[in-house]
Amino acid sequence: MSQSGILVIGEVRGGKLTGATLESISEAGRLAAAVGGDVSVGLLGEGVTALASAAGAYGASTAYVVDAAELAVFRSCPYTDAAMACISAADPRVVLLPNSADGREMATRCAARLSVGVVNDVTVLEPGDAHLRATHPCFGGSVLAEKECLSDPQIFTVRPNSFARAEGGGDAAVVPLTVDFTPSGMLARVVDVVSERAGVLSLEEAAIIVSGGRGVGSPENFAVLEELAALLGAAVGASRAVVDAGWKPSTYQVGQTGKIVSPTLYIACGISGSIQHKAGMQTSDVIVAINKDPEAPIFNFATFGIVGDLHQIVPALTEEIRRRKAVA
Amino acid sequence: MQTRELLWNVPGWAEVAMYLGAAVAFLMLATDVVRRIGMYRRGRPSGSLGGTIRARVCDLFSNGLLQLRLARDRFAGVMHLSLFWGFVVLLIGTIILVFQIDFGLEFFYGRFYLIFSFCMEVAGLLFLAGVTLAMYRRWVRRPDRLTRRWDDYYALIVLWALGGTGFLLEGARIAAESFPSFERVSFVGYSVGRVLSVFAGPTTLQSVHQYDWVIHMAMAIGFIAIFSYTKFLHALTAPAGIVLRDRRPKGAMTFVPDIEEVERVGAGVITDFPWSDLADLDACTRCGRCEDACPAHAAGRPLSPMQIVLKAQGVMRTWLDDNPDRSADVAGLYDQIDDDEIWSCMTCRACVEQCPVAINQLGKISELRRFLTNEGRLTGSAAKALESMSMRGNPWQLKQKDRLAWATEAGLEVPVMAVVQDPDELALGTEPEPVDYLFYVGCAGSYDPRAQKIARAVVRLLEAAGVSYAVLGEEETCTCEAARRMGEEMLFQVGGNALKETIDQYRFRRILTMCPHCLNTLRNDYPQLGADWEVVHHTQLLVELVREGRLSVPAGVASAASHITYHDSCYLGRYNDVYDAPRALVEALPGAQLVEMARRRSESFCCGGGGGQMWMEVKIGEPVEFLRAGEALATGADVVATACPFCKIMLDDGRKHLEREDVGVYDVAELLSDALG
Amino acid sequence: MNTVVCIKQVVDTEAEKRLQPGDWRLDRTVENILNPYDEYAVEAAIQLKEELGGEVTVLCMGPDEAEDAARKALAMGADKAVMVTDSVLENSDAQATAYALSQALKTLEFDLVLCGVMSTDAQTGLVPAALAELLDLPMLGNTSRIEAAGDTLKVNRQTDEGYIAYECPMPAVVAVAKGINEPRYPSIKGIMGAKKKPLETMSAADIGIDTAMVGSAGARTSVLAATQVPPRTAGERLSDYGTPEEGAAKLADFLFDAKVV
Repeated sequence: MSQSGILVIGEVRGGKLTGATLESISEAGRLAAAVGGDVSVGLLGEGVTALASAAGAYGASTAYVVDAAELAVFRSCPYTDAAMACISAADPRVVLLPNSADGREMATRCAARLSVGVVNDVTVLEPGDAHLRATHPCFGGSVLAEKECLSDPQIFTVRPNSFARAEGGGDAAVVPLTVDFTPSGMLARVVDVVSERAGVLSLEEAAIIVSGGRGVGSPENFAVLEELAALLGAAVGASRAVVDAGWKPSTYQVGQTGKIVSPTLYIACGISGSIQHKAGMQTSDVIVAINKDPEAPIFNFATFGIVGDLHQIVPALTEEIRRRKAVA
Repeated sequence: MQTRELLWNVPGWAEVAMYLGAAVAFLMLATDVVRRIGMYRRGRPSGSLGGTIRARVCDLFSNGLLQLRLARDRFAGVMHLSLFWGFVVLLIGTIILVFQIDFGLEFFYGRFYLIFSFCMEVAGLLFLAGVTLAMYRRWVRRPDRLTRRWDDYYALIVLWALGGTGFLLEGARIAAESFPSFERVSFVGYSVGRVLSVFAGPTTLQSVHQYDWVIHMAMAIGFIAIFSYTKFLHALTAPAGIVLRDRRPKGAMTFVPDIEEVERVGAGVITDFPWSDLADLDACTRCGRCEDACPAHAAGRPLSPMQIVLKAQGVMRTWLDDNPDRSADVAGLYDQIDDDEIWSCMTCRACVEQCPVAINQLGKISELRRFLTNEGRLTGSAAKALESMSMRGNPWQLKQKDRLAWATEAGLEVPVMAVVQDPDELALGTEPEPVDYLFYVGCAGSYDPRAQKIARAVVRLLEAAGVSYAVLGEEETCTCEAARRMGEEMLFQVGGNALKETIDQYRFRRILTMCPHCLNTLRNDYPQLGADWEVVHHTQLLVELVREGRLSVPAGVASAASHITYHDSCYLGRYNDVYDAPRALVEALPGAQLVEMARRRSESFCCGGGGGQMWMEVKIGEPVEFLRAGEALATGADVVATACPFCKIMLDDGRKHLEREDVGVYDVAELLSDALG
Repeated sequence: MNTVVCIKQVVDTEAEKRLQPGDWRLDRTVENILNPYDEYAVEAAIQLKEELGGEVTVLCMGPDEAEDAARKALAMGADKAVMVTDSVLENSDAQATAYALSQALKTLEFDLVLCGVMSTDAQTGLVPAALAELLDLPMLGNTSRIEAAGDTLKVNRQTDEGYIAYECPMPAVVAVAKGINEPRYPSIKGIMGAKKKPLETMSAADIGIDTAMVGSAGARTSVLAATQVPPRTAGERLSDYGTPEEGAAKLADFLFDAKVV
């Protein structure tokens, strides 16, 4: 059987497809010509059949759906079984998954079962000679490696915010699949699902952090940062001065004596950028600094700095981003 | 004839009882002393404790007899010196009388008798006054640091009782003898006698005298018999401690030789302490001054140096009695002591400075800390700083090649040692280009923006004065002083040897430091590694330059500062006795008026940055720097002057927290450099 | 409870490093360290041992120098180390590494396999899931909390919104997230003392490795190119921008261009 097309294994959060899924489907659409074949999507979970139309809107022509009670909450093996069923049905040349912990586990296990290669945390995908060329960061982000998988299906996990979304697709044909879940894979039992607001996202795992320093002025003023964070799905962090002043608990502290973080984006508001704080966030991909002191050391290593009053700039920024995202 | 019959009215059996009792009591005391010495000897060897005999004798004189350190607390000084000297004179008097009673000499009459009796009277009165003051303070004023345990009660009550029964004896005798006029010299006893004679006649008083004599004798004997089991032990252990105290350079921590072979580093069980650290445990009188002086304690952290001493004392006394079968290997110190107590310490030395009986609290805490670190009980940011010192030569995980950025990024050209004196050429025996000062900048000065400003100021001043100097530049690595204070002894030895090797490639006259921690370690710790350098702090050099006229501060230049307060850095002040040089520099600033904080010089209050605290997270209590910044600001000064990059950073953070944008925190070098224009 | 911790020695990402063009491997004359993510796993294993007893074994595949990483783990408190060293394993990709480790694990007795979520060099994050697949064991990744009671593991697995609590019978494979604990500091003396703890070396033949599955022969991916990202310097600084709204707009431009929001 000749393999063709790109299968995107979708990720569902709060009853909707995640941004990363929609981005992957869009990117698959852009690569479909080079790879040959169609774009299909695999929807795994409980009560996910209705999401097929959203996938279709971004360019998927087929939606393979595994709608089962066993998939209500993520577990490594049953989800892999379901993903494998989609791969069997679609028989694609390329499989894209999200680069979340869940996605990486599924990708790895599928690759092991199929004895093929997998590349994780991909930020760029380009057509290559026989296979796609995938770029991913390594060595703490200081080196970008370009790799290819040597045989089909080529499996990749895609970093969020790497690709642009493109609507303008049509409908996706729904193909329901039934899966015989491996009994030994169901040993793990879900005891509890705990959801917290985006504001208390784990700092170390967050892709975006909005962080406040002494310049924020008071615990109440943190509200403007929290609003920006909520909009961006970011975690909120703080400098040591803020924690010492009692405005935020110590779990918020980023820095040498707090948490060491490496998010994609670190927005430092009213933080001077002392060496102790820098030690905690210097490996962030992009650092944005908002501070009214033009001499603040943070400007010496921020990717983008803006000298000004954070109490005005941050709300303005929140508005601006909200406006642009609504349009997109 | 002016005299009295010695042992008058004392029945024969009582006299015998006295001699027997005294013999038993002294035997008990001696046995206990020997037992205790046996306990102390189960500690590790201390090595030579340095110093000279003359220094020890002088110390005994100043702190054992004149009790100067104790007298820093005026009330306590008056109280204890009265009590002490009163007792000593009474004791000497009694011993003198032994010569007449037991050795047949006859001198106790006439003028001698009168003078002797008068002196004893004054001594007795002084003694009782002292004890009364002590009672007043402990039981009426009740300061927090003084306990009220059974032996506190016992000590004061038995002393008062001894003095009281003594005067009662005298009064009863004088009254029974019908008040010979010469007895007026014993004015207290005479008055007591007058009062007694109102209630009883001579025969009754004679009985009273007898009973009282037996009671007084029994009490005295009991007092001696249990002497060493009560607080009075300090009367022996305190002078012993003062004489035997460790006189090696106070800035140095004890060296651990053969650290690779040694099974355990630091103190985990009681016998890990050197014997000198066990002996001084018995000297603690629970006066609490160390606790009062401790900045960690003041900030609400779990540390009290007194409690550390008392807990260790408890472990020692429970486990080290002279039963050799009792294995001291299980006498775990950490069964009593919490890790957090040890991590809270800033190594500021205030406790040692205050202790009237020369206990080395800090030495014990340092040993306890070494144990924790080597047992893997250090986690978090402090651990990362240690790893960074080991792998990157600085505690902040920054790059070695950026070590000179403080100068290059500001466009400052500084001479680099390796360029001025090629090490390869030197090794071949070529005459080096003379360099007076090797300026060791340190990690803070190299990397921290607030400290980099100090480094640049120092360089400007050196250039202005035409001083010959050079820096190590990218070869400079961390002294690992903080590692040593955090208990990582091996890292200190390895890192220290590496730095020493780098420095010893070059020829220079002195090492100049801008950080008291670097100063202290290069001057006091590194000789243990074989270093032989003269090390000075920048304030010491700058004051020399100002006095020699090589740096002249123009009088007409208006300085921004009017009132300046100076914060004594622990490692510059208490550790290295430099108090005046920075003050002289502040006073040389035009228009400057030095205002002093209450806690200054050797009583300065730590900024909270020493002992590795810069990198540790002790989340309990209030940040110490807020407290000290508050003290500095309370002087009304516009400028807080410091002489240490850590002090500057910590106090600046404190100032910001207190929202005082109108006050600036600057190093003395920065102020001087600004004044030069 | 017996735990095996899979560790790796990596190049210190903070040290100056240079790529070797041609084969795209790293200049190995720089400092090698124990993978920081694995430190959390070693610490978690030691804490479980301190609570429940048992033995902690570290398993490390790598060249001879990788012994230093194993020693650090031993210094932290692991009881013994097993090294898998063989020239045939050179140039193995992550999946081949997982295969080799799984073969070694088949010779060991354990209740729990702990790993860090990824290594700081290649950052594939593959090995824990691959191990679980190859050993046919349950796998729980990205955990922020582990407890064990009897034969059951209780873990919290972190998600974007919070966490999911699972219970799972042992044996199992668990990958621990960064920040789950604070790894203890093994003093330099401790590391030297660790030389007395047992360290066993296994070759590929000892654990029955099929050479076609490892090394260059077993590669399922290949590196086409690698570029070094230039170090962080001062970037753009905006001070003249008119109103805050205008400044915010420029900042938003930057963020969208950089694709970080």
